[in-house]
Amino acid sequence: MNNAFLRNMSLLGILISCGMAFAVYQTKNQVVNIEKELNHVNNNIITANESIHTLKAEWSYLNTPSRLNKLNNKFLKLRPTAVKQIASVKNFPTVLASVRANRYGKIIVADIGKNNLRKRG
Amino acid sequence: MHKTLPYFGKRLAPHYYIETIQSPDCVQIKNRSLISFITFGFIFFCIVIRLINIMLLNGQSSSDSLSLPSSLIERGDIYDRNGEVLATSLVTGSAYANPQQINDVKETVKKLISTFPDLNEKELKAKLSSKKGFIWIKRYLTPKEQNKLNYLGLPGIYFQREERRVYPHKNLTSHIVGFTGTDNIGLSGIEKKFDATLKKDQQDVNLSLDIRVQHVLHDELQKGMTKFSAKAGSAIMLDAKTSEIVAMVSLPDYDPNHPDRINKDTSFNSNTLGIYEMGSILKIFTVASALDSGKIQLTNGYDASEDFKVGRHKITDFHKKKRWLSVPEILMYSSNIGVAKMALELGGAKQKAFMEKMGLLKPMNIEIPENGKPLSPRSSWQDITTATISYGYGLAISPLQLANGIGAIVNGGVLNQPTILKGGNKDLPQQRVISSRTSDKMRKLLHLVVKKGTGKKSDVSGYVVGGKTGSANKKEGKSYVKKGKHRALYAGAFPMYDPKYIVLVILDEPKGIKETFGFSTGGWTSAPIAKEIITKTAPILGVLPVDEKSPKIKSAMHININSRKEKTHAIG
Repeated sequence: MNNAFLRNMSLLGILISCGMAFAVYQTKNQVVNIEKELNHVNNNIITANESIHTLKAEWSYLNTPSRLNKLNNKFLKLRPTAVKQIASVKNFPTVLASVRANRYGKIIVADIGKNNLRKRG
Repeated sequence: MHKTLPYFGKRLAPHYYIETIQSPDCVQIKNRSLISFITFGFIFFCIVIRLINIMLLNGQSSSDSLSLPSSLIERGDIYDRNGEVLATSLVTGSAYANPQQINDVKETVKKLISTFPDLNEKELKAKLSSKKGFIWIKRYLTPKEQNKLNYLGLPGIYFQREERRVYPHKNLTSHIVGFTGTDNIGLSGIEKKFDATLKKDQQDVNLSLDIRVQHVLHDELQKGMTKFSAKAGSAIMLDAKTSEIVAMVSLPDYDPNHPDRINKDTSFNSNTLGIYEMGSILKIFTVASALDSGKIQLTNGYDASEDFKVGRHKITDFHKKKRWLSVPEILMYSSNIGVAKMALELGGAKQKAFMEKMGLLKPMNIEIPENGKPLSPRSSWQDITTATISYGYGLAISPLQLANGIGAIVNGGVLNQPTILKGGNKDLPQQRVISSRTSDKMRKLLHLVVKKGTGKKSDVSGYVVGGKTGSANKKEGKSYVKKGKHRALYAGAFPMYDPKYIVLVILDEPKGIKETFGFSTGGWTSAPIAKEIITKTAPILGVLPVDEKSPKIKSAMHININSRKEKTHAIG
């Protein structure tokens, strides 16, 4: 019984160590693969970062005020905002607010000036 | 009675055990397994210890492989206050050659020249025929150029990846951002001042500049310079409350993308490095110090009917009124005689102390390395010095110092540290220089100058502008040049009921034109430029126009001129 037991144990040991060796090999192999992937991803990140830098610089260049000004003069012809174009809501005549909708749902301005309102009663 | 326990008797039979254990075979096996057990146990124990050591105590070795490998781009970026890129780095390819691998030099040179016409043919031929192993052909190629060169398929020519500094806005911020040399070392401006931050810490720098406002200043100043054939110009827009520089332009300027083309004239930052006598604009400080002392009131005045003699010098007025002038009138008509008398009544010691308090006698504390040192009389201030400094001669300061000083006069009376960094400079605390009551009076006075005095051409109805004009004769050697060579200045603020921004415009040697009837003073040349700047930047900066005729604004800006001649003239 003793000899048989010991033989079985050593057999088991050999099997276990073989199994472990295989597991270690597998793990190692996986690590190597993952590291390769990591390197690849890292390189991609660098390339992406460099592209971001380039694109940011390009975007900034495209937004150069003098360039936008030129494009505006060519296509939009917008002028700088004049003082009289800016007004605050407070300064609007209050009567202007009386706005109603007609039966088709189209919004119409009822009255604009105070005089106008008075005339209509 | 004895009862035997048959089970125990049999089980515990001693001879049975002793016989089994003491058989020689078994002893040997037992010893061997014990030895191997101890040996393996020891080895496993060592491995466990080592594993604990690696995994728990000594973790860095594994984290190394996880950290990002460093990119070629090392230097941080520079942004404006809205996050617009002012300076960034790109990875570019530089072409180099290994002459030993080039068989057909003639063909290579021919192809290279056809792609890059700016290369020197002779030089290139000599270089490629040499026996060196490495020569530069062209550095910092654009991706397009790289493609072209690749397409030629020349043997022995390679690319080296290099970091290159790029300034997308070119000339727009040249004097502030500065530029870097070939090895990416900051050589001027912010690039120089924050070289360590940008390079070592790889941190970005956020400036207080607004690129849109900067463009307006640049554009309008350039137009004004062309219109009046001026030699140079400066313009500053400063936040009145925090002294953050929103825009600052010095012309002529340069393209920082091509550091090799920069020369002495273009690299000069007149706003911080330039030291000038500011002429009549300094009257603002004289009047402010006089009013703040309590000695002189708005109702006071001085006789300006005749030229004023101080020692051997004769002080005259440009806009001659030849009568008694009240304090508001003195500023309105920019009377040299009036302020000189005012300054002398106050005394030289007080004037000097005030200028010292305003920080006008020592260099500014500013993040731009090109910083000029003010020029003031070294010895004690004589009467003549006090008189001339009162209207801006004898004390030379930088335009940024002037703008910052005016900010303190109108913002309620506190002097800030001017800064180019977003968020303001909090290194040095704010310092009260005049009382808020005096500041309020100065706001009204400056608004008066724009409404009725020399600054009319800077008025933008709705933005409640206030300001002061000036024209300073230039010195050549020791004497002043009388005709033609002067600086035309305008300094203003808006909106005057609660000033938010300071505007300063300086033209160097403007020439009068038909439109200005030949005049080239600050009121005729710099003031209209300031007007354009205010009109275009106020909507960008979010300053809402108000109705200047509304009772609220009228009463806020009301001031009595106290004139003895024009009694009815009151503004508001």
